[in-house]
Amino acid sequence: MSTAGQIQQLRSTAAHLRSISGSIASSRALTVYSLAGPETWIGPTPQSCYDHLLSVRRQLQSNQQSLADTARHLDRQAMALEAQASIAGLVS
Amino acid sequence: MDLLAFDRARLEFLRTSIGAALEDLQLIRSDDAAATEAMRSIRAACRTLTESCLPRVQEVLSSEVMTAYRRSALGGTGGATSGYSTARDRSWEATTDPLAEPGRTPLGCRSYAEVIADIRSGAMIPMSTPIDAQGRAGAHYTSLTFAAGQPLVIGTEDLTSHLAKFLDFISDGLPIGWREHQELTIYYLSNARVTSAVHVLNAYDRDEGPETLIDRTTEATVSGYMVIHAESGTAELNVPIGPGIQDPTQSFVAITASSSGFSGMFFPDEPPDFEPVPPGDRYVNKDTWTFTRSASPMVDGWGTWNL
Repeated sequence: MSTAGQIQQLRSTAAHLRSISGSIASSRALTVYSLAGPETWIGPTPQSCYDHLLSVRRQLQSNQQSLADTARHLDRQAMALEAQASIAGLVS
Repeated sequence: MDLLAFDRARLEFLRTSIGAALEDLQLIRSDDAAATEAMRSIRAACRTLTESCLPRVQEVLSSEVMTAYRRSALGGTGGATSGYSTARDRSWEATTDPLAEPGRTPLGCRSYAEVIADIRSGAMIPMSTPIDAQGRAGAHYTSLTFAAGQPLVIGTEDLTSHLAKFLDFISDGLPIGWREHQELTIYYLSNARVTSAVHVLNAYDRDEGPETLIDRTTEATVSGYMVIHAESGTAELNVPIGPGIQDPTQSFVAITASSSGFSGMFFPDEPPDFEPVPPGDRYVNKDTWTFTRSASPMVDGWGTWNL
């Protein structure tokens, strides 16, 4: 694959990962736990449900952050490749 | 009996919201290799919402018992009275909590013998050991506190030695007696809260416990097996009843001194993901066990992380 193709692919993947990260961030799965607290219901089952929802939130937030980090890393790789290509162009 | 009290309008909104959250997650799709882990988590989250949360909400909303308990008198349920009093003041509906019903055991739960065998073979890995201050004044150490709403007893085994049992038996006829009991109990904790608190080793009140560095406290939700080794001992000074030769077992205990303690370890189903404690007030279960690595308990009622 050409350098331009590689750069394009890296940017495209980064944009895709960023899009997934954004979808997770705006998902109502991150906030639904706040509706399952003691202002709604109390007892062992409610506590268990609340813990499940909080656990889901934590896991999704962790993935959201991980996707954003990977996207940034891919962008940096694309920029490095671009810089290399422009230097090579100047030399030749 | 554990009760479940709820606000019907809010619970119906919660059901709708869980459905909406599920829809949002199901719309996220990707076959990119870099997103594999995230997609796996999203599928797991969908399963949790579909198989655990929604059915529980639905079960409460459609319960037949609910009508019978509607606006029943709440409050006499032991430690959770303040929350239930609030529920009563708000005229919430109530029912017997499904999780408190006997016979409800998690699917795929190991037996007592399986847990012991898996611990011995190394198939079950304990949670990371709390940090020990090694007796250095001013050094940091950590405690692990588990709050389990309804720990399920998998099995119990009497580990009292034959010698201790014999001493217990003959203590009835001796002026000085010694009774010792050791027991190993395995619990299954489902979605228990575990709090890792950081303390500084310095002088403190053993009844109140050491000061906690709040900003460094983290917590996680865990499921898994808690193995507790509890031991208790009682020394007795017995005085015979009546004068002369009589039945040596006819005596009364003049002085008695007891000691008890526990040690244990937790074996999580999955490695816990500790996060800072979320701000604000919330409903939490009462603390059940607290451990440190110290050989003797740092606070009365705390145990040692060891088996």
